[in-house]
This record gives sequence, structure tokens and C-alpha cells, in this order.
Amino acid sequence: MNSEFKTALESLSVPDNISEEVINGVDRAWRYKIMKKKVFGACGIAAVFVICAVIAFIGIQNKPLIIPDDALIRVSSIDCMTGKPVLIAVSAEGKELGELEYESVTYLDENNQSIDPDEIFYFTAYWIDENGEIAFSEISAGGVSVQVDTKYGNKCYKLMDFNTNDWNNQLTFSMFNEKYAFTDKNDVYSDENAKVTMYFSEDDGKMSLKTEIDSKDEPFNRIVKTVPVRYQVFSSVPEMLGGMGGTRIEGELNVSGAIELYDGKKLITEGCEMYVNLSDDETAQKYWIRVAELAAQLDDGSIIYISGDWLAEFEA
Amino acid sequence: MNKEEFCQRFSEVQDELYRVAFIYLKNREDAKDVVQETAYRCYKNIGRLKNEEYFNTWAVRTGINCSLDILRKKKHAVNIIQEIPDDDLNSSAADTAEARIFLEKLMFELSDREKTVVIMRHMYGFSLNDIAKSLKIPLSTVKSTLYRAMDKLKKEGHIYEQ
Repeated sequence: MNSEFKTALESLSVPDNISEEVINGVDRAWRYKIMKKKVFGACGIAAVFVICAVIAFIGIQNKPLIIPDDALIRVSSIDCMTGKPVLIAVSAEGKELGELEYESVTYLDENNQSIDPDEIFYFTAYWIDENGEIAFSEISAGGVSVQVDTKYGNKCYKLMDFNTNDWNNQLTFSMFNEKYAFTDKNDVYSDENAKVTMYFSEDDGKMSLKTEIDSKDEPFNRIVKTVPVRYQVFSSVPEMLGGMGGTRIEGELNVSGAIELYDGKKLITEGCEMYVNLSDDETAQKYWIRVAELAAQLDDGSIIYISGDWLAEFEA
Repeated sequence: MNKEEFCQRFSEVQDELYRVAFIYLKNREDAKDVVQETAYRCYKNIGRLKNEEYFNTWAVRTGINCSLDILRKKKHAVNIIQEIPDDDLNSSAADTAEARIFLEKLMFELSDREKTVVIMRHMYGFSLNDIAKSLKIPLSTVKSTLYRAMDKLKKEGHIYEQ
């Protein structure tokens, strides 16, 4: 500073309390900074909340379907464009949880081995109306259990086709030439490992029929009781094994107990006596007995149905 | 720089700031307000000062701006004082009378821009280019303003001729 200007300037007196003004100014600035920090902090927190809310909203939009382990998978329909089943998760209480978004579906047998549903298994597809009721059902490809590869991970589910008493919604099992088979009402699959044995005996003029089922596969190894439901008796020799040749003498057996066929013939089975009167067809050399449908009760109390074919023959 | 360090540093320029502000505002209270406002602005923006070596210059420049801001707010106020009150002068100074004359010419005869140019040039040694940049006016305007201001101060054979 120019010394003469400085001298002139310094001739101006300075108040004693000028330092207080400085302190006041600095305090004001300090409070401003604190306030600024608070405001910025509050804005930051608000921004974080907003971001979290946005993320949560997006997350809710894309929320994965939470499926309990005890859920069942219902096939609600078949996509007519892709041919793939539309799978719906159903809670143990029967509540629909939502449609599964899946990348692929792998059908598994009882040993969790992958199987081709088109060649092996069949399941019942359900069409669900807007009230969640089964509008109608149709047999389609399916399996015992299904592994669904969703974008949220893999899970293995039991198809809920089992364990209902509704014939139309039931997987059925057929006996064919002493072999069990999974089948719907038209298609048959033979289980090479299953074995059925029919015993005929004549005691006191009565023929006795005993049915044994031997299979380690689900659900056969869970059968605790078999209940004959419907037998068919054919006279004469059928044109082919499993065919429908000869004269058919058919009757319906509804439950266990003595069953009288509509034509008066009766058969007796173990635990279920049936008698057949052969006098109506005196020309017949042989009679063929077929278990048309056999019900089996599983250990959980549910009923499955087994349809069969030619099982035994006896001389007239 | 924390509060204590800032106050310590600011105390080196506070008197000078007060006096410069007094030249512009011509009264004690407004000059004190300028000191407080300057301290406020400087502490608030201390982070912008890249080199602490220029703290004093920066503070004085801020003080001049504060003084001009207050003057702009009071532009409709009429200042009827045309001399420096005795209370605002150090009585002990041997050359108080001469200083008073100089200061009064500086305070009451120069325009605000002329004061600024004179103060920045002759009290703080700013280059003409720096003054032009600081005031955002052409260099030629700085020169002519400085010439005119000094001419006013020289009249009547003032001792502070440059």
C-alpha cells in the first residue's frame, strides 16, 4: 500500500468492537453452512427414500411369484400357439397363487429322471373359469411331477392331477396283459416293471378271483386296498388277446360285496363275491374275465382307478 | 480453515476493511455492517479461495463489493454530511488535518468508481489490468478514471500527489 495513502487511511479511527462484527459475520456464515448441510442432508435422505420407493415399486411390479414348497402345480390350459402347458401354482389350501412364468418344463418320473411327456405320461389339463372353477378338462401331455425352470430358479412340483376322486380329472392306470399302465381313457402305456396276478379258484361251486398288484412305482406301492368296481365277462374265444371278440357278458360292480351282473351271471372275488351264471351261453367253450375297472385306495385315503384287460380264462 | 483460524486471519485486515468501507459509506454503522457482511461472505466462500496467500487482497476486494452493494441499496438516501466527524479520526495523528482534507476529498468528491480505482491502485497496488478485470470495465476506462480521480485529488495543491 502506498505509504502516504496508508497514513491518511490510518487516521480514520476504528471502533473497539469491530472484532464483534467479524465474529457475528463468521457466526452467520457458520450457521448458514450448518443449515446448508442439514438441508442438503434432508434432501439427500429424501432422495434416497424416493430412489428406494422407485426401486421397491419396480420390484413389486416384477415381484417373483413366491411359491411355498407344499404348493401344487395345476395345468390350467395348453397354449394353443406353443403347445406348452400353462401352469398355475396352487397353495396347499387350494388358493391359486398365480401363473408360473417358466423357461422350460421338465417332466420327471418317480425317480426324478427326466422323461418325455409326449411318449410316456399323460395328464389332465384343466380349464379354469373366472371363478376358479374347473370349466372342463381335457387329457393332454403331462407327468407325475414337473420341474419348472422359472426365471426365479428351478423347482420341482407334484402335479395335482393325483388324489382327486373325480374320474374326469383323474390319472388312470390300466392293466393290459397283466401289465399296469398309465392311461387316460383311450391311450395306454405299459409299465414293464409292474405285475398283476389274478387267482381263480373254485370252491364249493364258486369261482374266486383274487387280484394282486406288484409294483414299486408310485402310486402302486402306496396302494393299501383294492376294490373291484367293474368286471367284464366274455364267453367264447376272443379274436385277439385284449380284443373284444366273442359274446360279451358285461356287468357293473359298484362296490365290494356280492355283485350280480345284469345278465344274472355272478363272479366271486376275494373280499368281493361275484357269481356268474353260465347257463345263458351253453355253446361257449371258454369264458374270459376282464377287470374293466378297478379302484385302489392309497395310503392317504385317496382313490385311483385302474382299468384292465383280459386277465384270466376258464373252461365252461 | 476453521472459525478460529479464520477470525485470526481476518483480524489482520478488519481495520483496513472498516476504513475502506468508511470511505464509501461515510458513517460508522454502515462501515461496521460492511465488516460483518465481508466476514460472512468470506467465511461462507472460504473454500473458493485457492491460495491463502491472497487472503487479504481477496477480503478487501470482497469488502469493496459489500460497500458498493450497500450503496446501491441506499442510492435514494441523501447524504448531507460533507465532512468527517471528529470522532472518526485519530486525534493523536500529527498530520490529522492534512489527512482529513485528503480523506474528505476522497470520500466526498470522488465517485464510487473513482474511489475504487484509486483504492485498488494506490492502496493495494493492483495493476490496471487487474482493476479492469475486477470492475469488468475496459482498461482505457480504468486509466481515464484513475487520471480523473487523481486530478481531483491534486487540485488545491494536495500533499498526496502521486
